[in-house]
Amino acid sequence: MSSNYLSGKEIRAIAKENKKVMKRLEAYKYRKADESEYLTQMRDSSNILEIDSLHTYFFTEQGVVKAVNGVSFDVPQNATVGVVGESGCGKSVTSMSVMRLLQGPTGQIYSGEIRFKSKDKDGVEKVYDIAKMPMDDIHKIRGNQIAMIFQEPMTSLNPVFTIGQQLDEVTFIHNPDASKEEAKAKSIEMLNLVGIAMPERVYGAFPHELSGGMRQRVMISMALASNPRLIIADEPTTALDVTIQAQILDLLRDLKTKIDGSIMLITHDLGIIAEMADYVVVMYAGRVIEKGTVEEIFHNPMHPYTIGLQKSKPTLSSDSDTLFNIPGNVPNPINMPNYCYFKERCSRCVHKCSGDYPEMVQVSPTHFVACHLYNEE
Amino acid sequence: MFKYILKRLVMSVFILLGVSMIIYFLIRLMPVDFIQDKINAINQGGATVSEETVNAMYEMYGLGDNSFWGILKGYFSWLSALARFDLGTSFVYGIPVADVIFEHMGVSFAIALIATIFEFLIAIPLGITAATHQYSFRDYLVTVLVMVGISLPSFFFGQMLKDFFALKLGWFPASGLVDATASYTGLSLFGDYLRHVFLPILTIVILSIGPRMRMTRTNMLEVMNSDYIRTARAKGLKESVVINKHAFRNTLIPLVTSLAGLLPSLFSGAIITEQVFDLPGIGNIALDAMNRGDIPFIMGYNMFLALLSVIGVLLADLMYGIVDPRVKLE
Amino acid sequence: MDENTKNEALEQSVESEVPHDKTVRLMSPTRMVVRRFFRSKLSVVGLIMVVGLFIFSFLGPVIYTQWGEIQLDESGKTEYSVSETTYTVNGEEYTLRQTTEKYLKDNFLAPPSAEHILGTDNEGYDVFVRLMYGGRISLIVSFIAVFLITILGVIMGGIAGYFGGAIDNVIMRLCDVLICLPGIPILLIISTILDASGIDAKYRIYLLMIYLTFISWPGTARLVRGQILSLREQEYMIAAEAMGFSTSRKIFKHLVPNVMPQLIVQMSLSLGSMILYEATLSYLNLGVKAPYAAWGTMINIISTNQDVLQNHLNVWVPAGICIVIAVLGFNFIGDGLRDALDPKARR
Repeated sequence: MSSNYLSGKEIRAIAKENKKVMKRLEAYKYRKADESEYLTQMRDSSNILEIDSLHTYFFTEQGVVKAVNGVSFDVPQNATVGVVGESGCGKSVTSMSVMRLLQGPTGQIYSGEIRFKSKDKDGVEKVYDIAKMPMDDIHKIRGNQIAMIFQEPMTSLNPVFTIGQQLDEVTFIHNPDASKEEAKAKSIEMLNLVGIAMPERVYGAFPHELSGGMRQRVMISMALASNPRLIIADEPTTALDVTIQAQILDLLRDLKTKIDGSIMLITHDLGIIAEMADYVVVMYAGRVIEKGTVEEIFHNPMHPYTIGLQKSKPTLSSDSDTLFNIPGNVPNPINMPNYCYFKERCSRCVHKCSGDYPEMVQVSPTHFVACHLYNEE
Repeated sequence: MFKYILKRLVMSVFILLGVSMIIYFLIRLMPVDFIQDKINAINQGGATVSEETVNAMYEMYGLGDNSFWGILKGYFSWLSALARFDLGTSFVYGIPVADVIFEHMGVSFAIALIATIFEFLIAIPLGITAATHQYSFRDYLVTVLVMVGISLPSFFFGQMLKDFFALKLGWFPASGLVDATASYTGLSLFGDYLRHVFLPILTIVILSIGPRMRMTRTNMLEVMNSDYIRTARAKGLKESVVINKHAFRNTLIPLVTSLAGLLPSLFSGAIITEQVFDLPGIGNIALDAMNRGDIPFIMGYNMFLALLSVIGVLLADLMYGIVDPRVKLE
Repeated sequence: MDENTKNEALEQSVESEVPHDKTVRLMSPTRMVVRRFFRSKLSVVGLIMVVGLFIFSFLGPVIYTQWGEIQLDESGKTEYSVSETTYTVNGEEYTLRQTTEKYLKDNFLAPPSAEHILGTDNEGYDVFVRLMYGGRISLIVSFIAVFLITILGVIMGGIAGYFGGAIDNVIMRLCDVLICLPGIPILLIISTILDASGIDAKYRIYLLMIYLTFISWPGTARLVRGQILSLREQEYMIAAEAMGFSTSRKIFKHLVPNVMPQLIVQMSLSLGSMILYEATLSYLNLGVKAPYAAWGTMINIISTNQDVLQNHLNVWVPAGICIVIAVLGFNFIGDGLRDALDPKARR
């Protein structure tokens, strides 16, 4: 057992290395930079967000955790992209990286690009590389171009301010000259939009006076108040009752058409993906293993892991009594092997799988998979 | 809410009864001839304790009968006097104890109030900077300075200040509240007061910043890691707004609550500091009274302190209900 | 911090520290605590301060035997005083200068020299040696007091939390009462009682500290009781009960790892405050009394003697510095331990 523990010397070496890297990345994060430094071009102009080989690491005492290890996918305009994977696969960290909400100094974007097509008030479109933006400039995007809905509605609202105060704030950020009455009118309009029955009353209420579903609606209205081009919803329904879940999802679907924006929906629930998404990204252990349109992923899953995921989904029509489950666990994120991360759990493992990590294989214009089974050579 | 307060008040009365019983029994543990000795010493010292006063005290405390029932009887006679708002007459001053307390409370209160204001004004910003720059050089510097402050014994630090600023440099008077040789009036009298209380206040402030700053820092760190701070950031708020509005308002809850707990220290006087700078505050008077065996005053003063801390605890709970919208008092 | 979330965090961290995968090597939990403690420079500084003071106080007098704690320097001292008188005789001025030479038995207020590293005090005792003996008293007394307070607090809190009901109520109300007792004034009264009963000057400080423990245990008791109550609420406890396991054994099994870190932190922090308490009492001439030395007692002289306060810093400043070092050392250690033992701290 003791051989499983690091020695003091190794610990010191890790700490020394971490400190060096963290210091460099922190300094980079808080540097002053001209806009030109992080202006860039979209690869495909129909996309609103392009994540390109993103690496997000956590520098812990135990070693570097590569929570997101080379993730690439696109969010097209007016589309819903579902990011799916089991807990700990890096899907939330990806969204946090886009929002630049990682807790420093441990959590850092190590490399990669996050290109986002922003549009300011005058309708001028600019493409920013969010990964390179200094923290001082992040407010150009965060909250007004990209809004986020979190998993925990119970704790995500500030307990000491009323709903109204927290909603008005969003209006004031984007329109500092707005009067109090204007802000209130806008907030109540937003509450109405998300289907809150008595917006006037909720406006004056404190978060603890509302139920979980109500709070999530408030969170959504808050995200909408800034007319974002992209909404990132990180497991928006996980903490809610099934009936409320359906309502919230309906709401999100309606809203997408109303605001004419895109949604990046993060979930571990394939049912939600099937219902909501246009495109699906399947993540496993910090990597994208398969991505494609929702039809491709559901009707023609290719990666053994995706197939396993779908098999493990309970259905009424299924004949068997037991649920399918994928044997084994996700590998430890420290010291990842350099062969396919799924190899140990895969039932269709071939000789090649012991080799390098598989490249992405394109099977259709929109369908990609990272598995040696589909590698022609 | 009303019911809650009523319940707490009733409980406070019982706590006070317990406290008074302990103090009373402790005082009764002093041998009677010891008290007589002390009275003689006071008489020799110039002040006169009249036979009448001593007899009144004997009656009030039922001294002399040291059996358990005797002491208990004495306690109830003291209690019944208290019910008539009679704390007895001070040996040293020859006036009712309550009058002595009120007479000297003003100085202590003024000093404590000013010191507390400065304490909060300095400690809270320090705590916030330390928390928002956790593990930075700034955090370490503030922490070390503040810890040194906590670790300074008040008598040592007070004497050092006195030795350096008052005796060596002569910037401030070394002791007392007014300059006995000059007769100031109006504004210059006020200025003279200020010069006299500057060093005591400085002593108290430096010693008390520490705990307050640590408290702010700890709370702030906890708040900064919460989900709603992430939400505030995600909204696009500037970091300064996130810290100074969203985080600060939450950090304020325990700070304001602790304010109520300060009540006793506002009125009870800083015994050591007042002794070092020889201020006529209530703490110094009490110390003197205890050294001289002024039993009615000791009893009265201790009960006064106990009353203040009971009210302090009660107020702290009520404040909690007011400041934190989540808390409903029941 | 919510106790429950804290426990959860602890559970989780324990879980995550067990490597699933044999090829992955992690840090052992003990090593993690040790490493976190030593990573903070302040805790190392604190440790050095405290260890240094211990060596100074306990080994010092064994090595440096030139003077004893209550050994006067009777080498004598000559005091010179010069007085001048001016006479005017026939318009001419004469000055009469008179020098008085006074031989004194004790060599008091001697400046620092090879003989007396920090000089002698106003009685003629060696300041340096008395610093060591004073340190012994302060450290021993504080350790005894903290130890007793912790034991009493754990017992009372344990009883209250374990039995609950009426017993809990009585103990907690007792805590309320004791917390409302004014500390220093009460000790002043007790000290007066000790004076009247004519107890030996050498032992009164110990007695005083024992009394102090009787009014200081509620803090620890509340901590322990709170932990037991929150443990009872835990679902695995309820599950254990439902399955017919004895809860009492489970409570104690879980209580120790849950409450130990907090107790250790509290103990190291209260060591600092006990040293301050003892010093304050001694300063007020209520603790250790002359001729015995304590750091507070060594400073006591300046409250009556302006000359020492202004001109003989070597007599009282070193004692003050020793107090600051001791208290600061324990505070640094306590702070470092708190960070090291906090399962939520992640860096």
